[in-house]
Amino acid sequence: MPGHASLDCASCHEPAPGDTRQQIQAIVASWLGWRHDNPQFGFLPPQNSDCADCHERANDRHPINRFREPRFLSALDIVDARTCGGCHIEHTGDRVASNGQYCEACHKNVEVKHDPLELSHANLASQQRWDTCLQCHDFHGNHKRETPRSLALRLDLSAVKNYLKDGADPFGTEKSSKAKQARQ
Amino acid sequence: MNTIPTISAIAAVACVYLFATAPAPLPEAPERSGSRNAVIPVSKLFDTVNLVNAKTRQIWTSRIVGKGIEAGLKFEEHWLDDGEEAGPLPALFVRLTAENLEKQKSSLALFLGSDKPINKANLFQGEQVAQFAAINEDNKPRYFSMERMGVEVGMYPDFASAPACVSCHNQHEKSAKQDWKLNDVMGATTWTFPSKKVSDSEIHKNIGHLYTAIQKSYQTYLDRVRKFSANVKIGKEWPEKANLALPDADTFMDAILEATAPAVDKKVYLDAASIENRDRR
Repeated sequence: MPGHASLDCASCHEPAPGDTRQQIQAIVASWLGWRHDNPQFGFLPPQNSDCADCHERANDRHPINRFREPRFLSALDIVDARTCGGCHIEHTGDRVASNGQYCEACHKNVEVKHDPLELSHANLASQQRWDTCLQCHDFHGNHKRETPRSLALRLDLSAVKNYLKDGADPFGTEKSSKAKQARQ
Repeated sequence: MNTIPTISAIAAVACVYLFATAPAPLPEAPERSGSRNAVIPVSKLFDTVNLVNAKTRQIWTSRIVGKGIEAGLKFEEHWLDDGEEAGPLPALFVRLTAENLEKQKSSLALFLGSDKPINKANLFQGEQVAQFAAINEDNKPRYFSMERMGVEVGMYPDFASAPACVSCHNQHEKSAKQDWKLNDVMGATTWTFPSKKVSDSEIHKNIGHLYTAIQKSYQTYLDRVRKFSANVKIGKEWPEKANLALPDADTFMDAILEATAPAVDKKVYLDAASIENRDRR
């Protein structure tokens, strides 16, 4: 994600338990089938709470905890949103690993009462125009902006795709919650 | 140079380095079967946390939302939107608690759902549909495994326990059912945990996480109330007609503890949460 390249490893990763020799020992034991957990070397993969230490938001439209619910089992085939890392990627220069189709996982049957769009949300879903979702909707809802009520006012698709690749933010610069510069 | 003796020598040195002279091996992380001391069925953990959550919800619904409305407070679906001077409706207070549970790195997770929800995102799917149908038959909880998600699941019926539950859901324009009656099963509270068995200390730790999540959720509400244009007294008093007051976090949590004490040792909360709460103050 943007700005993370300037952070050191410990800013996001907790140290793995044990000293170096214990960690190597545990990994070799795991390879040999002598233990059945997944020991790590150096640092642990970031947990959701590690991300939330800087990116906690009071009014997230898609809070991560919800995707751990059994009802989202089939959605996991499209995107494993149980962890921040299921969508957000790091160390690659991209912001989000998305093929633009993630919304399909949960919103296939979307219907909006008093739908303001020229082509209804239900129609967009039935035509599988999943690219259009992010052209209007901010996934986490952290940008201070009104959601357009007309398809004519949607963002340019290339601008959205560029944003997912770590480009400029087309949703605007005003945010409800600003990321902390360091863990508290 | 003879390769085989060289490789053998390196392997021997590596073995000595890793296993003969190395410090004690790292303890193995618990698998889905639970830690070595895990002998208690996870359903016991689910039963206890569900009781704590149900009592909290009852207090929130009747003493904060019900009496708060009489006092002049507002409770809204979009209570977190900019400019809103409102608090969370009962289901949204549970959702906030679920989010705060996640933020504590708890393995325990909490969800609300229904077969006739106001918000379609809360519609049961897959295994939960059949389990909820069974709950609707006898009003008893269901425990089952979701192997692919790697979790054990407990589902508990949510009853329409207060007139406000019925009237609000019946009047909501997006409600999928508008003829709810008192004591109907409106949905279910779902709990998940990654192992079938838990240890005594895991039970204590996770109940502590839930108490802390409830406290943090209430604190979030109070933090917003302090910015309301109306002057809401925050202290020892509870809201009632002609008394625009709210209990402070300690008073609120004392009421939760009082209501749950028959089933949950207060020590769990005091051990797990009080230090953090004190630091916060």
